Amino acid sequence: MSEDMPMDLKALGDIESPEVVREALRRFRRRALRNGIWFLVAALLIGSWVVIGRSRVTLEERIQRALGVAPGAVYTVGNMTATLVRVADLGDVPDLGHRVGIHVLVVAQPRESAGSDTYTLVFQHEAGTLSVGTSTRLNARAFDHWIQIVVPADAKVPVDVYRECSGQACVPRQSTSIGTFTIDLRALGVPENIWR
Amino acid sequence: MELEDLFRALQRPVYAYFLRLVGNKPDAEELTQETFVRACSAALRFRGDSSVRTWIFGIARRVLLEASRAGLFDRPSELADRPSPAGDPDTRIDLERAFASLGVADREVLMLVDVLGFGPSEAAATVGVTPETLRVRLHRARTRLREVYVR
Repeated sequence: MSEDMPMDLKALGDIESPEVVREALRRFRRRALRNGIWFLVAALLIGSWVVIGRSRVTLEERIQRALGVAPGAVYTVGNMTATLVRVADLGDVPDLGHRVGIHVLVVAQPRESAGSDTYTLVFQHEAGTLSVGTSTRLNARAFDHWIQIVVPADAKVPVDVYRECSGQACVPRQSTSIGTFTIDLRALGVPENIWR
Repeated sequence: MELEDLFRALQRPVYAYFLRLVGNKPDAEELTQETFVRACSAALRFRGDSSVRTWIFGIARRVLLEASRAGLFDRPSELADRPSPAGDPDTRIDLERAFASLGVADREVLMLVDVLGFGPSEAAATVGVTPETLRVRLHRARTRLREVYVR
């Protein structure tokens, strides 16, 4: 046997093959069908998610639609005024309690400093309270604040007000507590069936 | 040519490739089938840059690599125990045993070039190396087979 000549290995390829092509094509069709179904299910899920997302009612809409009252109380902290526009009944949450929606309109009076102020309302998370909120800025000095909370038993809702000064006149940027006001739902005459 | 006819024409060499590399019929059959399933999926993407045979064996090789990662080569080989239907049985069994004792990489290049008749360039494209590298590998594989067979 010469070193340069390859051995004759053709015999190793002399093998009878079982019939696999038909089964392979069948398997391909099954797999394609299965993948198609998965694709359809995924498309349906994504589509539903988009539709649900679009049709989801915002907190603002829920507060406006729910049974409620417009106390109109005005709270002033520093140069900021907060008007209690609406208090509405948002129903019960299992294990958490009764939710109340509150709409506050915040307006800041301009200060003499050249910086611009941003105000933040923080509804205190005391025992038994839950707050989830959104804000909609109306202009440079005013914004709507929408929040849902579980009202404490005494019907008093304390709110901390923070001011953040930004702009060249107040570098470094900082957030400062400028005071607290309390929304007393009982004193404002909000019916108990709305907040309890 | 219909896809099914094309596959049928390549069924035997693909099955032989797998059988000589994995060493048992059930795995070889399964891998052959999987190769053609994937070829169906990939058929629309085949642009004709290579021959159909090179394309199919490229898929076969990827199927084999995935199976080897899943522990395919840990199973015992039945290759050398197979009796020969043709030729001199003793010589063929000796050759099969010698071949089966080689490493997978050696068996692969020998299968492609010396058994299935691929040219060095086609085999190199299938294996994913340069033709020069393939020639070196082929030379070493032939040398090793000769050593084992003579012994």
